[in-house]
Amino acid sequence: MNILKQLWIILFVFIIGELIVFLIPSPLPGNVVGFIIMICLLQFKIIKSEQIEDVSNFFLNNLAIFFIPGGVGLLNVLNLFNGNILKIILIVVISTILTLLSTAGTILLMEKLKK
Amino acid sequence: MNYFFITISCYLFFLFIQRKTKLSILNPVLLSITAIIILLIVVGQNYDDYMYGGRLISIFLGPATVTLALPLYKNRHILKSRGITVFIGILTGSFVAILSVYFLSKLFGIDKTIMLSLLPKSITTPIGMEISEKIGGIPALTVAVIVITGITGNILGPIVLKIFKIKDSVAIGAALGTASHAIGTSKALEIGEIEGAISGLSIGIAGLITSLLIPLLLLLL
Repeated sequence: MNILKQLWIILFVFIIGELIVFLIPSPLPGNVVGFIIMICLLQFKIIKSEQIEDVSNFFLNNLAIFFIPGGVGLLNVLNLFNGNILKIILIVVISTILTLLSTAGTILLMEKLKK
Repeated sequence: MNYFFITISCYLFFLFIQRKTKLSILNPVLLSITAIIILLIVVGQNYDDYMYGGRLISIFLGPATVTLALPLYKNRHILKSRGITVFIGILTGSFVAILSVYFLSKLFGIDKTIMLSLLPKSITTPIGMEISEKIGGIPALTVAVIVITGITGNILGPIVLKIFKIKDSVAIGAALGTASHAIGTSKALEIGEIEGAISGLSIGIAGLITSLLIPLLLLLL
């Protein structure tokens, strides 16, 4: 299907998500609401996966690049780290490792217990 | 300078380097951000100058998140059989993410404002910023730490999970998404479609759980 049409569908669903969050106060941001709407549209066959497939694959295969502009924003807050930079990185690294292991560990342990 | 072109050039160059060297520490996002920040400092331009072109890339971050629905839809059968355990795994992970930051900050004697800014580090930027603002953190610092956490999970995730012999696709996906949101998910998508699907789902669930847990835990602690 036409790439421009695919992009239009994805942008439309994203904007609907943003609009919902703007109108109804929600703990979730617009992009996550758009994600939920997209799942519903696919589940109820209102959108067929082929209708968004090529553009989705482009986004998913290159997801990391979209974070670079936000990351460059570090430039503006470098002063806020105020000599805490090593401590902060240490906290982030330890906490990330603990989070990874507790998430995966809980799933595997619960499924072992169920058997 | 055309920062739209420079950003894509940096990313493709560092992606090429990583594929040649196969060293996960040479993370293309980390190296691109570092290179661009150095370039901006050298030429004496600021973030606004950068965002004139950079915005052309960042506007697609939201729509890109929406497309995470596709791998999840294709692998929806997994949620029918393992949905509940995946949810409890994400809940536990989110709990650990918050509490570990709280206690490590106490241990290292970090200022309260900085600690509050670090609490939502594992979740997606729009939710994290809002939580940070609500609890008295510095949203700009939170955004920076969220990106650092994402890159950390992206680099360390596969290594840590391998050391602990975790091979299950669903567990790997949930771990990467819960610990390091969409930057972790980009790694999960590289590993496999199921990993990517579950990781994408974890971003939303972890974000929601964390936005409820942080205010609650701050009341209790």
